[in-house]
Parts: sequence; structure tokens; C-alpha cells
Amino acid sequence: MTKKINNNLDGSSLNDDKILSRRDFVKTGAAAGLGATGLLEAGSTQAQASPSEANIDWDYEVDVVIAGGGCAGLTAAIRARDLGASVMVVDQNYDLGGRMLHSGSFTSLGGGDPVQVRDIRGESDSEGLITAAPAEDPKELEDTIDLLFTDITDWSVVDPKAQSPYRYNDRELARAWAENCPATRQFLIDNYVRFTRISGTHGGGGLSRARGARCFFMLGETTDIKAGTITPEDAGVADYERTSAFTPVQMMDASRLVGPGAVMNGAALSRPLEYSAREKGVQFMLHRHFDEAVREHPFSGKILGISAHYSPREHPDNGELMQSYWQNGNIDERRQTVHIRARRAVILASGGHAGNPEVRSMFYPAMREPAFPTSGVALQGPHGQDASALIAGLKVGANLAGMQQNISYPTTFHIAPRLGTRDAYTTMMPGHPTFGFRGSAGINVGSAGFEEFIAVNQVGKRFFNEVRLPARPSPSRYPGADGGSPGRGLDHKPLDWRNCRKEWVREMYNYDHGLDAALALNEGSEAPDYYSGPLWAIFDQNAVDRTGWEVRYPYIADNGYSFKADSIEELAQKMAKGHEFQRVPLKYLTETVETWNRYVDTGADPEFEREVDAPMNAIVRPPFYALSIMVIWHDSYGGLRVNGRQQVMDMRGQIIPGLYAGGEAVGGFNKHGLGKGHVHGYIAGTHAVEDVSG
Amino acid sequence: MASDNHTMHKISVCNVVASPTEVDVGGDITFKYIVCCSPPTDLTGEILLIENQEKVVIKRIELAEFSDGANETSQFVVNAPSTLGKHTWSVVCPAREEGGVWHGEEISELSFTVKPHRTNLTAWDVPSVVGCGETFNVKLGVKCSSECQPVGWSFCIHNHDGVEQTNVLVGNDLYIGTDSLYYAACELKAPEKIGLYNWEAKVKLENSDHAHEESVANFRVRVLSEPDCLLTVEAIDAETQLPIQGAQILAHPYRAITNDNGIAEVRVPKGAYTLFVSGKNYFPFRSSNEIKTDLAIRAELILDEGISDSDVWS
Repeated sequence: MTKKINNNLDGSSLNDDKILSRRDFVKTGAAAGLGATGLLEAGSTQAQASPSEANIDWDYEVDVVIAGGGCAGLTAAIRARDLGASVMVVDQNYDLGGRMLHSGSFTSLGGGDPVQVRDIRGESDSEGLITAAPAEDPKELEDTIDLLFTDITDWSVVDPKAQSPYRYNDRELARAWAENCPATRQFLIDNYVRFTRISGTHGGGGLSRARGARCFFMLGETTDIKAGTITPEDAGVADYERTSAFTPVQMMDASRLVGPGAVMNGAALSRPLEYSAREKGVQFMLHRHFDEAVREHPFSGKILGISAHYSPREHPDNGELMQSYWQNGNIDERRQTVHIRARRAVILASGGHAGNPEVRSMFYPAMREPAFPTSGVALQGPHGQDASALIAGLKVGANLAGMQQNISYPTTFHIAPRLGTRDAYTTMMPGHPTFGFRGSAGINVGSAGFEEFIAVNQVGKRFFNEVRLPARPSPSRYPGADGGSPGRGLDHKPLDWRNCRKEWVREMYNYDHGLDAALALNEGSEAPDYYSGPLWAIFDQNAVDRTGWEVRYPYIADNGYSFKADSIEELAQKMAKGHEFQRVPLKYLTETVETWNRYVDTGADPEFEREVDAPMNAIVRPPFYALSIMVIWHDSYGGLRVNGRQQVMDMRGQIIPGLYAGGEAVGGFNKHGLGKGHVHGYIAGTHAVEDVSG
Repeated sequence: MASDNHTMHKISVCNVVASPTEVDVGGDITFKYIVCCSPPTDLTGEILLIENQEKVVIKRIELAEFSDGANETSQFVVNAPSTLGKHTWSVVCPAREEGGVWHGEEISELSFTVKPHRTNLTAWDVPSVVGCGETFNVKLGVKCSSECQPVGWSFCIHNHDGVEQTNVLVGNDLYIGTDSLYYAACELKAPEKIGLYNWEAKVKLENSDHAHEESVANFRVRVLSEPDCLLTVEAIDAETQLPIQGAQILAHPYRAITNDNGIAEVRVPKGAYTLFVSGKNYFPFRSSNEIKTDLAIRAELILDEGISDSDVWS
């Protein structure tokens, strides 16, 4: 294949109006901590040759290269493109959207953003699609950047797990994020994203005001991004056992926050952004895993570009190369390794480390257990969330930040109530091309369903009170009549010592540590890995009859994550033989069930006091079932250190010229989910073009 | 024996199908063998001999394919011996000479243990409470590890004193939803005195073609006096105030299920009870009660709506 070396991939040139004046050049350079020398002269579109560049055989050249086509990456790509840059996005997956595509689309911003203002005024959206009244009182929506910044750096807030979500946030990052929230919201709206009414605030978004909205489409006869419509089939609501290539997870009813006929989830955020990016001429190289950032010298000089290897995903059923939903703008590159030169900047937006057991065990050693995946493992594949940005950043001298913040978010890792599937975080059904990688949708038993079975470890022993096992900390409450947080009244006083007074913390503490019992070393864990092993829900046909659980395809399948047998002994044999992470026999399972049945007869569970919390039911009537219980590491906190411009910093406090990062690749900011990624992408895309790197 | 004029080729024989170390008497053992020769030589058509412990040839199997330098048999099955215990078989690749090339005899041994069939016995539908001397029903099921048909088998139940209570033929029908569990319903009579009794069920395996391990299923019979109070429970959704059908009522050890109107009645003796009311997708309702006379309780259950995005962490 011939080289594709062009100044700009699409033949256009940088808009000269965007070139900085000398005065701005120096100002920017000083703000970025750069010296005045070594920077590109204004007006130049080609990098000066340097000794290391001569060693690289560049296959492509663009202004901005972005690793990762998800929340932060797509936002950065569109923003950079809007500012006149040529942009290429590489993604290890076969389709774009990353985790955003399977999310609930809950985007929490604030600071007086346009959607807050809209709802305060009681107005509909610009297209008149929203007919529902605002869900929040105007007082819950009146917001400022200063209040938002105060909220997300509030030292005094302590949650019911006695963790401090805000006090460790990097102040510069938090300020930059707060200041860019309104602009980012408008940016998303300008790129076909439609937001519902504000209702509540998403994790880490601050307590004082309501700042979160979801994204929606209207059900219609066609799927039309510009019109804002989606067919029931594409939305996954025509058949409750089907999703689609457009939407891996069934969309939810949005009538309360929009009006009749509205549906919402991450597809209504991801697909519009992708559509806009393609429309504006962003180039995409899929099936392409970002490996390394190429720097002039090992720990000095500017970032020149990236290397990335071919990471094809083949359809689980027919073995063919999987195709993205849209292809315009895709580059079909199949060479093993390519080098892509970035004239302006590289932006690392390839996600966090939730899918890399070795890296996440840095925070919690027990999470080295490969049996427990990250969320969306079927959708994103084995290379999703594999810490590629963190690893590549460290190789060029990047610093890390917020490494302890993984522990302070209650759903970073959690026990999923969806049993019988490896990919237990989402409700994907057949119809999406990646369904075959998981094979089963799983049965969502809810927290209440945990009373219907016993939970056993890898040798077949119970290890915790099952009813308390999936419990997450309750919502935060604060001293005051109404409990103080969005939608629960405004009686919350920021920065007040009474928010974390020890008597109050004792009163609100609400966590049973079942997750930690599940992860702990248990019998059967052996050196050197000491894996804690898989977890199982064991129940009988009586439980199925009580609950109506649908123990059939597509909820469960013969994929090693659910088993059925005529006896407990046979069940244990099938599990040992059929589950990929069952390393030891479940030699105690029969005894455990017999003991449990004895406890049921006597009405007391001396081991775990189940009789206190819920009815106990014997496991006696065949057939017998075993469904996997998964611990999911959902999203990551802790990552590359960046400044308020999303420039990656090294361990001497200096920026790494030409390197930016956003989203879960970044540490030092505990904001959960989409709100962080979009703003980071907006900031990174802006400065990647407007800053001068050298 | 090769002569000095022959070229010697070294042979190795191995089984590439994971064979069980234990096998049910009368069961099948699956094999597939590979014979490698150094240097690689096509030996298709040659016969491997499977010899039992007494060195009697029980099967001859041909090397059917030669690829990638190895000779393979097809996958084949041999019936396990009828004698219980450890067995060691030999797979013999006989010596041969052809065209000046000598292949020595090579023997691979395979050890396994022939065991009696395991039977798993299960008891269910035991009432949580029976009255003194009352008749009650229990179901018993048996599954054989080799899925033997229960021809002539019977269930035998002994009470807490070891006295036989009943002897019932195992039915010929599979229990619904199972692959090979045969069952029977047994009618029993409760002891005359109040108490919690441990009873034992066994299966008699008459006329079995193969040896079976004996198995036991224990179940408990709780005998209580005649209840004198009526507990009426109404289960409703706390938000909608609509009745909840099929909700489970537990005032240990008494159980009931609510009807279409969300109501269940259960008679209990006077005393202190922890009442649970539990419905599908509802968190359980709990209350502590001292029951001295008939009592009606209204239980408002909270629906498990899952944790909202806002509630995850505000």
C-alpha cells in the first residue's frame, strides 16, 4: 500500500486565521510552561525535522491524532475539526462510541449550562420536542461556575461509605472543568445531541444543584439523526428480547423527562456525535489499537505521533471482519503496525484501566482476578479499557494523578445483580453484532432477588449474607431537614464541618462490605496468584416458580455462565467442567446446600444471620441451577496527570509538548462518567489546535 | 528383533482424548491415539491392540490418518469392564519390519478405576409443618450417574427411630424439567408428638444390571400442635396500594402464598413471630408480632426499582 503522507489528509489546509500572533504565541508558550525556543513559527504547517523523526517511517500525517473514539475522543475530534484541524481517530474496536454507546447517557455538567437555563425558564428545546414540565424546581437549577467549582472541591463531603469524593480533586482540573461545562453543553447540542429535562446529578457532580440530563430520540418511522428520530427496532423497544446494531442496549422510556414517544440512553449521545464527526470530515481508523506515543527523545522533546497495531474484531458467528454502523470517513488499513504523525498534537482518550487486571490490581490486589471483567467487555472486546493511554504515557515520562480515587467511588467495582452472563453490566440482547461474545443477556434479579438463593465461592461455600451482598451505599445525606442534595431539598451547606462531623458519619454509614468478602482470598486460592475465584448463585425450581425468572435463552445460555442439573452433585460437576475460571472443584457444594436446608428448617442461620433480613427458602426441588455472580469493575479513576488544558504533565511538573489526554485516561478528578469525558474532550480539542507545541 | 542390517525408527504412542480416571461400571471410555515415528513415517493401516489387564486383546484399531508427521486413529469407544476397581490396560503398537526399516514394539499404559454408579437422592415438597399424626406427602427423586432406568427400584423411608415408614416404587417418568431424574410421591404419617424429626430416605436398586452406590436423602418433619390463631396478611404495593398476588408469607415455620387479592391466611399457635412478606421484585416486609388471638396485618412492600443514576452517588 502506498504511503499517505499529505499535509492534510483531506487536502485542505489550516485556516490561516487560526494561526496565533507572535504575542499570543509567547503568552501561550509561557502559560504552558514552555520556553520560547523550540516552538513552531506561526504559519508553519510542517514540523521541523529532528533527529528522531528521521528514524520513523510515517504512514499517515494529520494535525491532530486521537487515540480512542468514545466520549472524550469524539468530542475532541469534532472540536478540533471545528477549529480547522485535520483529525484522525484510531480505535481498537470495530465501531465507535466506546462505553458511551452502552451508557444511560446521564450527562451531568452545570455551572449555569444551557439546559439548566432552559429548564429554569420552563422552555422546551429548540425543536419543540420536549413537552414534559421541568422535573426540578428552579431553585435546584440556579447555578454558577463558582458554586459548581466549590461543590466539586468540597473537602467536607463524606459519603455513606465514609469516603471523601471531592477533597482529593485537583483544583486546576476542577476549575477548568467547571468553567467549560456550559460551553460543552452547548457544543453537544450543536452536534445533534438532544437533552431531556434535568433530573438529579450524576456521580461526583456536586450536591448543591441538579445538573444531570439524559439524551433522547423520538420514536418514529425512520432513524434520522438530524430529525432526532429512531425506529422502535433500532431503539430495541420493538421486541424486548432484541437490540440492534445501532443500539447495543435497549433504550429506556423517556416520557417523564421529555414526553410521550421519547426514548433515551447512550445511543442518543454517541450516534449523533459520531454522525456529526463523520459529516465534518473526521477520519477514522478502526480495528486499530493505539500502542505508543512517539516522542522526539525518550523523556524529552515533543510528541511526534503514535504507533498503532491492527486489532481486527471478527464476528463471533461467521468469522468475518466486523463493520462499523457507518463507514464514511473510515480508512481501511490492515497493515500490522502503522505510524501516524501528528503535526499539532496527540490526544489520548482511549479509556481507563478497568479492563486490565494487572493495572487495576495496583489499587486493589484482589482485582487481579481475570474472572471479573470490566463493563461492556463484549461490546468493546478484550482490548477495551486496557490502560493503553496510561501505559503509553508512562513510557514517555508522564506523571500519574488521583491513584487512590478508584476506592472512593462506590460503583468503580461492584457486584452486579445481573446473573448468568459475563458481561453483567448491560442488558444487551441478540441483535447487536457483539452479542455472540457474551452469549447470554443475563437475568436481572435486582437486589431483592438475592434472598432467593445462596451465594457460594469457588469451593462451594457460602461467604456472606446474600441479602446484603449486592447492597451499595445509600445516597448521600447531609445534616439538615431535607437531607440536602438535588431533588431532595436545598438544605445543604457546602464547606461546612458538620457535613463530616464524626457523629454524623457514624449515623449515615451504610455499607456492609459484601463486595470485599466476595473478592477476598478464599479456600481454593493458591499461590502465586491467589485468585479469589468465581462466585455462584445456587437455587432450585421453587425459586424459579416464586420469581418467574426466565431461565432460558437469551437470558441464559450454554456458555459456561449458567448450569442446570438434576442434583447438586451433578451441578457441581458441570460447573467445574464448564466454567473457564473454575480452577478447583466445588467440593463443598453438596454439604453447603444440605446445611443451608437445615438452617431453613430451624429458622436460623448461625453463619450469616439471614433470618434477620429476609425469608429463607430451602433448595430442594429439582432441577437445580447455578448462575454466575459477577464483580464488575466499571470505570476507572486515577490516570495520567494533566493540567487545566488537558496537557499531560511529567514528573517534574513540565508539560509533555504535544500530548493531551481526557476522560478515563486522566486522573485527579473524581467526576463519574460522561460529564468528565465530554468536557475533557472539548478542552483537549480546543487546546490541541490553539496551543503551539514544539 | 531388528537385525544389524535394518534401520531403526523410534515409536511413541499417546492418547489425545482426555480419558476419565474413574468410570462407571458398564460405561464407555473414549480414546483416540496418535503414533509418532522418528523420522516421520506413514503407518496408516497398521493395527493397534488394546489389551486388558489380563493381556487379552479386547479391541483392534487401525491407524487411519497420517498428517503433520503423526499417525492417528479415529476416535473410538470401549466399554468399561464389569469388575469394580483399578484396571490397567495396554495400548500396543506391535513391532514391524518393512523395507529394511524396523519399528520396535511400543506400549502405552492407561489406568482407570471402575466404580459403581453414583445415585443422587433428593426429597422435596415436604410441608413446613404437619399436625400430630397427620398424613402428609413427600416427593423423592433419584438420578443415576449413568442415567440407568429405575426398573424395579423403590424408595424406602425410615423415621427418626429407624422404623420403615413406606416403600414405594420409583416411577418410570422423568420429573418435569429434569434430564434423568425419576421420582415418586410418598404418603407418610407424622409422629404423634410435637418435635422436629430427622427422617431418612434410601433407594433400593433391585435388578440393576450394574453396581450402584447407596445414597441417602435426609429431610426434617416438624410436628406442631393444632394452631389456634388465624393470621391474615394483606400484601400491597407501598406506592400504588395495589394488592400483590403470589407474595410469600413466612411466620416461621408457617408459610402461605397470597391470592389474587393479595391476601393469605395461615393458622399459627399463639406465640412470638417474625413475619416476613416477600414478593417478586419487592424488598421484604418485616414485622415482629406477639400473636395471642386472630390477627390481621397489612404489609406494604417497596418495589426494588434498582439504583438510579442519581442515587448511585450524589
